[in-house]
Parts: sequence; C-alpha cells; structure tokens
Amino acid sequence: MSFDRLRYELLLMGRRVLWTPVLVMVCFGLFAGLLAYLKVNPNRFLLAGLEMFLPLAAGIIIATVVTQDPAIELQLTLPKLYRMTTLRRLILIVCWSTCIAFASSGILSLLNLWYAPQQVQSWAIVLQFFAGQLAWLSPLLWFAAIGLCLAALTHNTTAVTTLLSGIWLLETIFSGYFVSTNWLQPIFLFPTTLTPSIDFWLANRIELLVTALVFLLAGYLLLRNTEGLLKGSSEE
Amino acid sequence: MSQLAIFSGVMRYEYRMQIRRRSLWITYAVFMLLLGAILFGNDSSTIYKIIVHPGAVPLSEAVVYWATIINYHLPIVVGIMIADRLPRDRRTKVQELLTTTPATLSARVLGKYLGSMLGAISPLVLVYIGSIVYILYQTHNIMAIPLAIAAFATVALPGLLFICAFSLACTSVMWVPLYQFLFVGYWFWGNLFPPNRGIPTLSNTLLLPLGGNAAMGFFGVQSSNIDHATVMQGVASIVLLLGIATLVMVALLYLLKWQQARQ
Amino acid sequence: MHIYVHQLNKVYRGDVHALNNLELVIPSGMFGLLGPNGAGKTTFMRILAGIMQPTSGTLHVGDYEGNTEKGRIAIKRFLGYLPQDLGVYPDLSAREFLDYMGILKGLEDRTMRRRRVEHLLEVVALSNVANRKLKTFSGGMKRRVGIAQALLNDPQLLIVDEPTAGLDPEERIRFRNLLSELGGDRTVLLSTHIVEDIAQTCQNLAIMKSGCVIFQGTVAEMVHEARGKVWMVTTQGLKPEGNFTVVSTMNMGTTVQYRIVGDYPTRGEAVLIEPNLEDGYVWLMREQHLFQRMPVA
Repeated sequence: MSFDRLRYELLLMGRRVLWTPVLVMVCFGLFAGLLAYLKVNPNRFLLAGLEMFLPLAAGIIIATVVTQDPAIELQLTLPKLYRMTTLRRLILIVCWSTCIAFASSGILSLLNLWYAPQQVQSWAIVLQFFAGQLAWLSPLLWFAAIGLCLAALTHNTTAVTTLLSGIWLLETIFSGYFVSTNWLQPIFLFPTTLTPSIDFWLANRIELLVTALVFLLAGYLLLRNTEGLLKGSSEE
Repeated sequence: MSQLAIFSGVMRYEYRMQIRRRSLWITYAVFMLLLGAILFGNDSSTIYKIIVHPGAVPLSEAVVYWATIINYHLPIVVGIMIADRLPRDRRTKVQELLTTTPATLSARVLGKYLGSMLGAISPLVLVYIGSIVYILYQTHNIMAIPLAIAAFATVALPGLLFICAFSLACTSVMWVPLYQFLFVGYWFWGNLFPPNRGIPTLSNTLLLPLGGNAAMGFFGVQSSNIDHATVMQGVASIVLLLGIATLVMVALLYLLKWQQARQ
Repeated sequence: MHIYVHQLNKVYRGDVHALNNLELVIPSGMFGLLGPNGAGKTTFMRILAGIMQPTSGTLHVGDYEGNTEKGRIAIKRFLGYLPQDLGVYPDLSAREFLDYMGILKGLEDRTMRRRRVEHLLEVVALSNVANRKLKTFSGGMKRRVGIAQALLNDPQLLIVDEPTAGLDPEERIRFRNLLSELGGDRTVLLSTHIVEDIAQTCQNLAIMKSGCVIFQGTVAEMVHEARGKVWMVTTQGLKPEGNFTVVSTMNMGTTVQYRIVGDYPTRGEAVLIEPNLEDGYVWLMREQHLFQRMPVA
C-alpha cells in the first residue's frame, strides 16, 4: 500500500477510529490513578484494559468500518477488489491498536505495573514481557476477526456490536464455566485478568490465534457477497 | 392536532420500526442461544436448578429470578439497539422533515423514547412470558401471574427505562460505536462487578439497574450483589432510577433545542 | 466498444423479477436508457458495472464476459461509473477524494494521477473549491465530483445513472454538454427518466419497462413512432375527451391548450402536430399498457 493510499484510508475512516483505542487506555490509566490513590493495586485493572476492553473496542470499530462505507457502490465498481480494501483497513486498525497496546504494556512494565500470567512468571524477564503480550494480542486478533466475519455476514453494525458485546459479557460472567469445560477452553478470551493461575494459558493464547485466523478467512470469503454489502449499507 | 395524539402516533410508529428490525430478533436469538448453552450446560449451578425445577423453590424466588435473569444480560441488546435511533434521523435526513411539522420536539422525543424502548424489549418480554408460562405449568399456581407482573414492573422495568434514556441521549453528543462500547463496559462495571475487589462500583448501590434492591427489598430474593435491602431501599432505588432517567430526557430535550437553534 | 446482452434475468428475493429476458445491443457512442421508475435500469447498470451478478443470461462488454469474476475485474479496469445515489467520504476534500479514487482505479504514478485530478477538477469547474471537504458541497457539486471520478481512468465504458437528477437548469446543461463531448469511440450509457437529457445528447436509445426492452432504435425512429398521434387541442376550459394521454396543459387566459398523444379526441378541436421525443416515449408506454391489457386469444 502506497503512503498516499495509507493516508487516505486513515483520513476516510476518521479521527475517531484512531482516537478511540488511545482514549480507552488513557481512561484506564486515569482510573488506575484513582485506584492507586484509594490504595488498591491497579495492576490487574490495567491489564483488564489491555486484554478485555481494547480488543472489544477494536472489534466494534472494525464492524463499523466494514458495514458503513458511504461510497460502497463506487468501491464495488473499482478494479481494486473491495474485500482487499476491507482487509487493508482491518490491518490498519489492528496495527494501530497493537501499537497502542504495546506502548501501554511497555509503560506498565517500566512502572512495575505489569501483571504477568502465572504460567510465564518463572521465565526470564524479557521473555516474560514478550510472551505476556499474547495476553492482549490474542483477544485483539480474535475480536478483529470475529468482527469482520459477523460484519460480512450480517451487514449490520448494530447487530455485530450487540453480538460482540454479548460474547464479551458471557465470557466475563461465566469465566469459571469456560475454564472448567474442555471444549470451551480454546475460546476463553480473558484468562490473564480473570483466571491468571490456569496452567493452559499459553496453549489458550495460541488456540485463540488459530481460531482468529479461521474467522479471518471466513470473513474474507463472505466479503465476496457484494450484493449483500450494497443492500446492507441502506438498511435500518 | 393535539400533542398527545402526536406523541401516541410517534410512539406507535417507533415501536413498529423497532420490532421490524431483523437484527433485533436475530441478535436476541443468538444471544439467548449462547446464554442457554452456557446455563443448560452447567447443570450443577443454582440458576439451572431454579430454571428447570421452579417448583423446588418458593414461587416468588422462581419468578423474581427470571425477572433478574432477563435483566442480567439481555439489556445489553436493548441499550445498543436504542443507541442509533436519534443519529439515524440525521443520517436518513428525516430530521429536517420532522422539524417542519407542528409536532413539538418533546412529543417526538418522548414518543421515540417510549416507542423504541417498548420495541426493543418486546423479545425480552416474550422470553419472560414464556418463562412464567413454564412456571405456571410446573407449579400450577395462578399467583405466578400477578407476581410476574409485579416483579417485572419493579425489578426489570425501572432499569430498562434508565438505560434507554442514556442510550437515546448520549449518542446526541457521542459517536454511536463509542457509546455502545462504553455502555458494555458500564453494564459490567455498574451491575455485575463484585464490590469486594477493592475497585469502586455501582453494583451494590441504589443505582443498580439490575433491580437487585427491589428484588431483595420487596421479594426477599438475592439475585445480584445486593445481599440486603429494605422495602424503602427498594422504593428509593426505583425512584432514583426513574428520576435520573427523567433528568436525562429533560437534558436531552434542552440539548436538541439548543442544537436546533444553532443551525 | 459494443455491449451484447442476451436473455439477461435478475430475480430478487421474494420472486421479484427486476430483469426479464433482457435483450439489448449497445453500440459505441452515446446511448440512452429510458424507462419509468422500477423498469430495471439501475439493476441492469449495476450488473454491467459488476456490482451484481445476473440470475441467468449472458453479457459481453467488448471482448470480455460480464458473467465471470475475471471478466468483471477486466471490465472494471476501463469502466467509469456514476451511480444514482452517489456516496462520498465527507471528511475528504474533492481533490483528496479524486486522488484516492485514482489510486483505487490503478493510477499508480503519483505525478500523472495528480495531473489528471487537476485537469478533471478544471473540466467540472471545481478547481476553486478543491480543498473544501465534501461534506460542505451542495448536491450539484457532489454530482460534478462524481462525474470527475468516473473519468479518472479515461474509461472506454462510462455508465451514468440519473446524472442530472436534482440539478438546476444551468448545471443540467453543463452536464449534458460534458457527456456529449465524451461520446465518440467511448460507449456512454446514460440512464434517465428525463427525456430531454437523451434528446440533447444521444442518437441511439432503448426504453425499458418491467425488466425488458420495449423499444430500441434511434431517436428519430422513436419520434417517428408517435407521428400522426400527437395533437394540439384547444378548448374553452373543458378537458378534451377520448383515448389519449395529456402530455401538457397550457392556460392561455380564455382558452386552454392541451398537447395529447393518442387517438383524435371525441371532444374539442384538434390539430395534428410534429411529435418530439417525449411524445414518442408516451406513445410507446401507452402501446405497452394496451398490449398488456389485451386478452390473450
């Protein structure tokens, strides 16, 4: 992608898309400050921002960008395939969120506020830090992929937002059930924050990455339905 | 033409537009499926026992538990579905047309608020009715019906009115996806987050839209983080939720009037 | 470049037949597509532009098959499209929007692309507002941006769907002149239900109704269809009676003049007059109605 194209894609997505992940982490930072003032350890809370909230925000943003393109009819007549354009936008959003998350986790590490999962706590510090990035990277990619998949399937921003939020809520409330049920463990999204002592943390993170890739492929294939994309843009 | 007639007409049409949304029914259905899979897959849990065998617990407990179950998760759908109603008028350019009619802003906005809300909670109400029918079938106790109405009106409805007011109002000043994201965060933090983790939360206060204060205060059933509440606290919680919803709607009206005057 | 359409069908969900065994041959130059609302013009154009796939039938655009994915991508390389409901990115300026569309159309050489953008901004008279955000543009200005983006890749096939809808007379004339200049070796397909647009720009046209073509020919041939069927009726105020369609009514003070298309009126004095394109259209539509109402033998 040329620099010009990158610039235009960011411009047309709007500043809100760029500012939202920043806003999420800043708000968490401020609230963590309040917790510290109340003498509550903010480590796990800050990690929740990275692992639980930033991925949800990214998923919702991706769903919005995919389902609400004002020039969709023009885009579908261009030789550059729209599904490739959508994929590029997804990569941009994920890369940006990744930069914010990595920078945030770097700051947390420097301030000694980093919360590592138990399974990697015995590792060397540097290895611990990098392995620990999977805490947010796996759910981020998972939500991005699921957001794309659902958006391509439903062509409806509200439906996708509701479903992503529903998944998020159920994973949070029934975390114990996810941990204790074998077939649900691979899609348990937030173990680092909710159940940091599990012994299958690393396997879970890798399994999430694999399922994310599967959903990404499914989403890409679903984007071939150009009629659905056009119809969806005018609904509700 | 009376403003009451206009309000009633707006409410009816907003209700129709909301229930005609395919996405409303599909998201409820998927959500219920996921929830059902988890609830019914965990057959050792208390919730499962109450749902499947409502005759094994006091009638009030079974009914109030259902009122809380539907209010625990499904309002996420309600809050998100209502959030895009006002921005939609701007996006479809209907707002310009509406401001040229003799209908007052308050009649239109109030009608939109109640109509959209009733439409968005229709599937939720259907689920609730289904559950009460099941309880009736299991317990053969006709008192389930008045109890169900009372439980819905005190435990579920005030919270729904509360979140719908915010969902309608906040997106007049905020990007819709951002509000929807914040709403999910709020729902978890303000309702479901345990208060004993050291992090301040609203989930054990009178501002709990889950209806825990009413459930405990009126029916003596603990279905949330509220483990103790008196009747007065139940009343206070309802009054507070409805009062804040009213304030939010009034603020919204002032905001919209100001925005119109600025144009 | 010629376009050959054979037995093209498009059925939407709910058994809605938008296109019904459509047969059409579109030569190069300006070609008009007329028809009432719901005739299937936009559906046909979207299929041509590769946005939708037909349910059945064949479509050839020059040497390419419009039914295959490969063919559609190839067609898009020389296609310029201006949709009926033009959507733009409100936060981009006109210049940025055109530059972005140029990139997506494969104009990778930045210098050449920017030169082309500047040239087109001049052509559509938007150079002085090129740095303004599109959300501040009027409807007519957005349409001009729309035609500019359609011309970015110097397309061999230009599809314009209702280009003058909502434009003021001056802008409409500017558009027509612009479109006329674009004919020649190019194929320009102009879809509209404003007959005057076609009369001023096209030599060949087709009329669509209910998903099929009810007339294809030259403008002169279409006008000829109504010859002997167009009357000017002057009355004292009473509407004339008979089997016809009133095309226009002019109140002259003491009398009223009616321009009618159809049979000689049973009431009122009528003078036979020369038909125009609109009369031809009305006559053909009437014939279609009558044809549909006739009982099957």
